[in-house]
Amino acid sequence: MNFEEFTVELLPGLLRFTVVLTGDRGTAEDLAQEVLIRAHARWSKIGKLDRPDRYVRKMLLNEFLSWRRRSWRLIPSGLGSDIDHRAAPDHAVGYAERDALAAELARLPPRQRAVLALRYYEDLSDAEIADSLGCSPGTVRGYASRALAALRIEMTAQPCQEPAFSKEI
Amino acid sequence: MRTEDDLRSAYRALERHAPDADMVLRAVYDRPERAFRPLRAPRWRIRRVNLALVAVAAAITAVALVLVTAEGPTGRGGPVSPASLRARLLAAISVAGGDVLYAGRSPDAGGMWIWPGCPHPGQQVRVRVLGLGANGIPGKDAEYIFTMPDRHGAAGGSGNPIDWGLMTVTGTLIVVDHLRRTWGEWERQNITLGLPVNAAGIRSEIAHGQLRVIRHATLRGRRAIELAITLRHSEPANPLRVTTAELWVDATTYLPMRQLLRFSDGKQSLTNYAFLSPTPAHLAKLRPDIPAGYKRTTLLPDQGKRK
Repeated sequence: MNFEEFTVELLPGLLRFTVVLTGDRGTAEDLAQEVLIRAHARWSKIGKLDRPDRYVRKMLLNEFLSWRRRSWRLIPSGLGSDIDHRAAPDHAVGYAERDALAAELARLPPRQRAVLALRYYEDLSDAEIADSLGCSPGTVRGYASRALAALRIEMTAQPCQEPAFSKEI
Repeated sequence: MRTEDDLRSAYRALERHAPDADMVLRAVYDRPERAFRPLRAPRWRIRRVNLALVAVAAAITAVALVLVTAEGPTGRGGPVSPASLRARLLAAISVAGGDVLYAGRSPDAGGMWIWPGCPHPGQQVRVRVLGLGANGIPGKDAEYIFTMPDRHGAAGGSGNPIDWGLMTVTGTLIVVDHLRRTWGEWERQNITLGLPVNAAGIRSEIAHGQLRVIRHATLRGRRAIELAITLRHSEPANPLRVTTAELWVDATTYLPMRQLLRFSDGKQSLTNYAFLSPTPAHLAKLRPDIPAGYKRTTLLPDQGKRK
């Protein structure tokens, strides 16, 4: 697959994942630019892979997790502020709840955010997430558990659970 | 208690804000031979590297950092690439998007305070507009509180590429009329706002324009980079349009400090910017002062004169 085909077929999906990962359009744009500049330079190798999108997604994850510029200021403001609210009430309760959840997601540590995005947006199994992040499935479950607890999300089931190792006694 | 479906729903809402592919690819295709790499936290692989090599690398990095700090953003032996500069500027504005943005000639001369500086659709926005007379006495002092609409009009009739255009919003309007010594508060629909600048507009201008470093300068006691932005989307049919824009950005934070717009009729407009962290003191600037003795009125002010 050449780079142009990649940008037409696969890039839009990766950009959607990037904004889900970062929670912010501007940051997603910067992250994607940084990664694509490097991917483009190495496309002769990346383009030969079976799934270049997975490779680029991994690049995006690595870049996201390694960015030093993290700040509480990335948290969308205007939510939960302590100022007085004299505006007309917002009747879009559902929208506000999603907004609040997005703001809380932005406060999570980057690895926890990455795990949730891969599990609940990309629908990857814990093993696949572990492979993407370079850690063990148990660590992935730990990140997910802490993140869900912080977001006050009740787990209805164990998604993408790998079969437990059986041990003969 | 939330459910996992709530999380999926939040992600589906977020994905609608995905960056535009063309915008992202422009940075790729415009990149110079040597692509910019930002400072980044050390990766875990670095730990495997021989300690001696780490020490040498650290020493080299330290020297390089000192040189970069001393010489500024273009002090790497050549001019910084437009793509790199654009990425840094966009990143800086994104990070400061939740700040209170001041825009005007100077706070002493009135102006506009907007919070958050880069509002997203659905966010509550507070805007204060303070107009001072030539004698320094306030004329009208108004605050608008509204929810940022999903869509708003295109660039305003002024031809200014960075304004919000005319927006019709519903929200609260607080006006202090210093001439009549009255004040009032109204819940109104169809408030038409013509706000001259906003950070998202600047961001868009940077993303769509062509950047060129003119020189380094000192502005308000800080080192700044003066940039020329040649706009690609000028409309020849518009009799009053912006032909060029100059932007001064802080050489350390890369946040905009000043913009000079030149119009097709030869006039120009100067605006200073300040990104203020949303502390209680700075948030207080969003609220008009109502002096003691002013009477509350229910008479709706003339919206046409307020801007």
